[in-house]
Amino acid sequence: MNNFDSIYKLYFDKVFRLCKGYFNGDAEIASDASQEVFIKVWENLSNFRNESNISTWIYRIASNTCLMYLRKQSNRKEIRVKEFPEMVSANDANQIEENLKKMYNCISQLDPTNKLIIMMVLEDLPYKEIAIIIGLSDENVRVKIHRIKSNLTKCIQNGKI
Amino acid sequence: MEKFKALQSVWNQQAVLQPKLDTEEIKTKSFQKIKAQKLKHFWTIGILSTLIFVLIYFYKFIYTNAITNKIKGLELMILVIVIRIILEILSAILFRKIDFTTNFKNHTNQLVTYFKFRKTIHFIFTPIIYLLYIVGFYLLLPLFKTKLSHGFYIYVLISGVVFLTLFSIQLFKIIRRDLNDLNFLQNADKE
Repeated sequence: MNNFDSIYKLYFDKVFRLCKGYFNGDAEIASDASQEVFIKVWENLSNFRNESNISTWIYRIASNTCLMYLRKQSNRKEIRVKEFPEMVSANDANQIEENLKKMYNCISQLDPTNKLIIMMVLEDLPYKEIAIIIGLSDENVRVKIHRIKSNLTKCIQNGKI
Repeated sequence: MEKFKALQSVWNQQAVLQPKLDTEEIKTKSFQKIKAQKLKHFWTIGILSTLIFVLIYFYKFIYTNAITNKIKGLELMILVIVIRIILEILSAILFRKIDFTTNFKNHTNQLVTYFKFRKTIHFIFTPIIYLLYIVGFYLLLPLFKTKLSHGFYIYVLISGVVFLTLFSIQLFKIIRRDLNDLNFLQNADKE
C-alpha cells in the first residue's frame, strides 16, 4: 500500500521525537516504540475512516503506544529521572545535545499527560488537534499548555519543576 | 513566552532520524507478529486442552475406580483450574478490546478499568482459588498415601509444596506488577 509508505516517510521522525521525549531521550526505547506504532498503523490503516486527520489518528496511536511502553515496569525503572546534567563548555553540537538533555530531564518530571501535551506543542501541532488527541476540551488544553510552558521554562533554569 | 520559543528552537535542532526499518520490513514484522500470536494461541489452547483431557481421563478411569470414600480433592482441583483458565481468557479478551486508536484519556480509562478487573481477580478470586487448590491437594493425600510407595508419596508431597511455593512467588510478582501498572495509570489519568 503506497499510502502507508508515504505516511511512514512523513511521520516516522515526528513519532520518534514524541516517543524519545516520552522516554527521557532514550533513543533505543523510542525507536522500538516508534516501530510498534507503525506496525499498528499498518495493521489498522484499512479501518481508518477519515473521521479525523490522519496525523491526529497517528498521534493518538503514538501517545497510547508510548504509554503502554512506559507502563512496563522495566522501562519505567530504566528511564527514571536522571541527574540534572551539568553545563559544560563545549562546541555547538555538544551544546545542543546538553540543552536537549536538560529539556528531556525537565519533560521527564511532568506527568504522562502533560508530557504528551508539551511535546505536541514543541512539534507545533495546533491546540485544537492536541485537544482531540488527548481527549480534553480546547479550553482545558489551553490552560494546561500555559502552565506547562511556564513550568518547563523555570525548570530549564533551575533543574526542577 | 520568548523563553519557550528558545526551547522550541532547541527541540527543532534535533537531527532527523532515518528509520532503522523500511516499510517492507515493517509489514514483514507485522506478519511475523500475527503469526507469532496465532502460534501462541495454538500452543495455549493445545496445552490447556491436554491438561483438561489428562485430568478428565484421570478422574474418569483411574481416580473413580481407585477411590472408595468421598474424597473430592481432584474435582476441586479441576474446578479451580478451569475457573482460573476462564478468568485468564476473559482477561485476555478484555485486554484485546482496548482501543488504542481512541484519544489518550479514553485509552487510559480503558486500561484503568482493565487493571481494576485484574485487581478484583487478584484480591478476590485468586486467594479463594489458591486455598481451594491447596484443600484439593490436601484431600488427595490420603489416596496418594495408600496407593503410592512411601518414597513416591514423599516425592509428591515435596514437589507439591515446592510447586505451590514457586507458584506463590510468581503470583506475587504478577500481582505487584499489575498493581504498579494500575497505580501508574491512575496517576497518568490525574487532571
